[in-house]
Amino acid sequence: MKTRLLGALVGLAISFALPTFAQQKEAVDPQLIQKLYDTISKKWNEAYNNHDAAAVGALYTEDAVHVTPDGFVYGRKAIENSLADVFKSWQPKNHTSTIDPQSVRMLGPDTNGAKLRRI
Amino acid sequence: MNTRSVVALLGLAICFTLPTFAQQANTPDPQLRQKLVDAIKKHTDALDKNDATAVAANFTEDGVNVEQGGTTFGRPAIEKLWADRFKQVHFSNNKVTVDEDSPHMTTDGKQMWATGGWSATIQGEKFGPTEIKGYWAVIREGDDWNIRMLCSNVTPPPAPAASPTPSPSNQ
Repeated sequence: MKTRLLGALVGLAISFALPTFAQQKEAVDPQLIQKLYDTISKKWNEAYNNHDAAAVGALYTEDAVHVTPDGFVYGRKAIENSLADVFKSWQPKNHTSTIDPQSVRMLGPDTNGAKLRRI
Repeated sequence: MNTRSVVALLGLAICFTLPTFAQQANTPDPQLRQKLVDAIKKHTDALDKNDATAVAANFTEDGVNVEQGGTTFGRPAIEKLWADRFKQVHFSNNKVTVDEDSPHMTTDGKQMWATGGWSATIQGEKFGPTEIKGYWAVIREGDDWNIRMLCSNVTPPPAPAASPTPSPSNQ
C-alpha cells in the first residue's frame, strides 16, 4: 500500500467527528458515554468493517469538516466520496475504535440528545 | 510503512475526536478572529523559543493535546511532552494559518473552535533541518482563549518515486 494512500487513510480516521474532549477531573455522565458508544463508535466500526462509505458519511453532519494530514474535506457528501475512493483499494477488517470514558464532554448548553443528533 | 504500522496509525488517529462542525458560510466576528490570531501568535512564539513552559501556558489547566502519537492530558503533562521534545528537536520558523471561516462559537459563546494549517522547520542532532507541516483543529475557552483541546496531524512526506526497472547497469 502506498505511503500516500496510507496518509489519506490515517487522515480519514483522524476526523472521527465527535464532540468529545477530555477533562480528566470531571465526572462524566455514564449515560452519555453509553449513548456515544451506541450511536457513534459502534456504527463507525461497523461501517468501516463493511467498507460502507455512505454509512460512515452518515455519522457526520451535513456541514462537517474532516481534518486529514493532507488537508480538509468539507461536507458529508465529499467525505463519503473521499472514503468511497479509499475503500476501493483498502478494505479494513476488525476496525476498532475506543472512547476514553473520561474524555466525553458536551460543547455548549445543548442537551445530550440534541448534540448527538448533530453528528 | 508496513500494514502493522498502518493499523497502529489508524488506531491512534481514531483517538482524534474533533468537534468539527464546519460552516463554510460562517462569517467570523473580526474581533474574535483577531483574538484567535493573537493567541496563536503566543503559541508560535513559544514554539520558536523552544520554551515548553510557554507552550503549555497556552493551554487551560486541564487542556488536552491530541497527536498521532497519543493524547496528553493537563498542562503539566503537556509541558513535559514539549520539554522532552525540545531536548531532541529544535523548532523554528513556526507558522500557522487559520481557515477563513474560523473561528466558530459554540451556542453559549463560551468556547470557540477553529481549523487551519501549520508548518515548522525542525532540526535534530542527526537530521534536518527539514520542513514539516500539517493541519489542526482547536477548541479554546476562557478569558484568554486558551486551548482546551488541540488536535494536530502531520502531513506524510511525498511517496518515493517508483523503483526503476532493473537494468544491467543497476542490478
